[in-house]
Amino acid sequence: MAEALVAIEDPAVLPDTVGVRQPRRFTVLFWIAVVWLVLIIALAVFASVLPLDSPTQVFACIPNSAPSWHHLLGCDELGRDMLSRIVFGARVSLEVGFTAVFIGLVFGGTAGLVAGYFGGKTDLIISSAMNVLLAFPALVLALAVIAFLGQSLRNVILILGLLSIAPLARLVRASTVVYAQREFVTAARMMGFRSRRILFREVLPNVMPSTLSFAIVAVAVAIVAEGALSFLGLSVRPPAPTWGNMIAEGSTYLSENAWLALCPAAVLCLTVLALNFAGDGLRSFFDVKDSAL
Amino acid sequence: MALLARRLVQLVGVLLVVTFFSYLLLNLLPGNVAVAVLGPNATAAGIAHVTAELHLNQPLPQRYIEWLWQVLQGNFGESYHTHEAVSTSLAQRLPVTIELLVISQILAFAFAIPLGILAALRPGGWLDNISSITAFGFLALPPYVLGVILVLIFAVSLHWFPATGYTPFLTDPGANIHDMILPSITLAVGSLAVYLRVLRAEMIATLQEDYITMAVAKGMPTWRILTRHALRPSTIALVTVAGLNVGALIGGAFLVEYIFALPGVGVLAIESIFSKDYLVVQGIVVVVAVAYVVVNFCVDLLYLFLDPRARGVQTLG
Repeated sequence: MAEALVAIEDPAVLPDTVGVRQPRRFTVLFWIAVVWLVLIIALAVFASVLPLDSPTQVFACIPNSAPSWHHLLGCDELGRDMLSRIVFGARVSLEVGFTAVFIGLVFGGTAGLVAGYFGGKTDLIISSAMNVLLAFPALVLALAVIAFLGQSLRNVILILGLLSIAPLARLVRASTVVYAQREFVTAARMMGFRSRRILFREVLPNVMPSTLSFAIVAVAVAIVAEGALSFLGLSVRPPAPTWGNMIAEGSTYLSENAWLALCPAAVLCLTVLALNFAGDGLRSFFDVKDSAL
Repeated sequence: MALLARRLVQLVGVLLVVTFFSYLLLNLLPGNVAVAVLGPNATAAGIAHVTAELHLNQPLPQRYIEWLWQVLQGNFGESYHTHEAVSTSLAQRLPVTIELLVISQILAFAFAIPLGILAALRPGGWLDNISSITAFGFLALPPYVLGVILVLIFAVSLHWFPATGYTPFLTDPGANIHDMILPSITLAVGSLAVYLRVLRAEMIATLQEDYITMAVAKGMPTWRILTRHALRPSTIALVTVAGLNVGALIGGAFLVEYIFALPGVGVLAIESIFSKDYLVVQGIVVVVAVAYVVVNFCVDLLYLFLDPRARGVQTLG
């Protein structure tokens, strides 16, 4: 996952914007992204109470029929409602994405805080452990673990969570190192507070904003990875819909009905794009450098 | 030299850890490993044979060392389904995957370097804006989406390229390249976006250096300043990122092979996962992980070679 996240680190500040005080405001794109995410999340959460056909109900409508009032996104080759399949697929994608990154935040974040604050041997041990995690190509490790551990939603979440630990730990460690040397931390130490209190009350709140904006982008990476596993047929088993297995199924009917593959593909890409924009927007919002203090 | 020696020791350490974890994968199997490896048709004799061959009744460290010794001699065991040596299948499949990786990286650099330079020349200009937005969009296009879109446009609608299929290079070089175009583009696009963004950012920073102003003041032609003075220091970051990108690239190659039915290592891995051919999967994981570690090690060395500062610090310290 680290490899994919490299791309997100932003280019240098443009020369003509350095030193210019920019108002802290979110862009229109940021709000469009947020609206899309809210929509997808709401649909996924309320999927079972929405007036939708079951995603696995075959012949709910005429196979391969075009979008209509009753079936807003049309039907697939078996007559299953596409909208329903996409909404229930969103459940899998979002559940995997958010849970995996939550695991990464809890374990990676704690490891990064401890490594960055205490330094020395502790840092060496934790950083080496993280380097071992990063020594495997992510998708290959995920494939291998799924192959040996067996194929299930729980295992997909576990392996993607494991994979998101190291990048998040590295990020948290890097910003913790910076804050651990600041005056208010020294002051707290002088006042005799215990390390745990300093870590959670002084350092953590400062590290949180950059970590959370990075975590949002990490969710996008996890969703793409789950999509890849589903596409290969190694995530949740069909007929349960996921965006990845819908793309894979649809791609066998490209010459007859390309919509079947393009529709879930578009939803997946828009969600990933929205998460990237949201993470990016939050990051520059919290970025002290940009706000010309 | 001392630095090189230390790096080599580190490399050996990482390789030991990586191979150990690859070996441990077998232990994730539920129940008796020998039974799982043989599948539902396991016989008592077969189980006894596999247990002896994989040293399953020995303690873990000893098993690992026995296994590592075999692996070092190129013996990854044999498939219990096809009875073919894992090393033989790997040797057949690796060239396809390597060809795909190499062509895609050539494509990615061929587009990223000129575009990155031109975008950095006028940050905020139309070319910069278009390429930045496109790159951001490309980053949201995983290979399994892009591949499907490219197949739809260029294979299904336009019939320019085959949707699937592979001709060995030695049989017909022209057909081989023709078959590889769509897969390579699919794989190249993600790297292209990453390289473009990194090179652009580095070039913008480099172009603000005093020696660039100096070169401009001397009246050097712009293209010469860009290629001779600015590009070289900026490639250091590019090389680092290219090294980090290898992991994502290998994953991407697996997906691309699957989409275009190329007979590479990725397809072998996926087939073996479905047929529960565990030793083949393990062999692939070992080879791929070791290759990944070694490539990153070489990138580190290249880094020393490209950046005189990285060497200078060492001689002083």
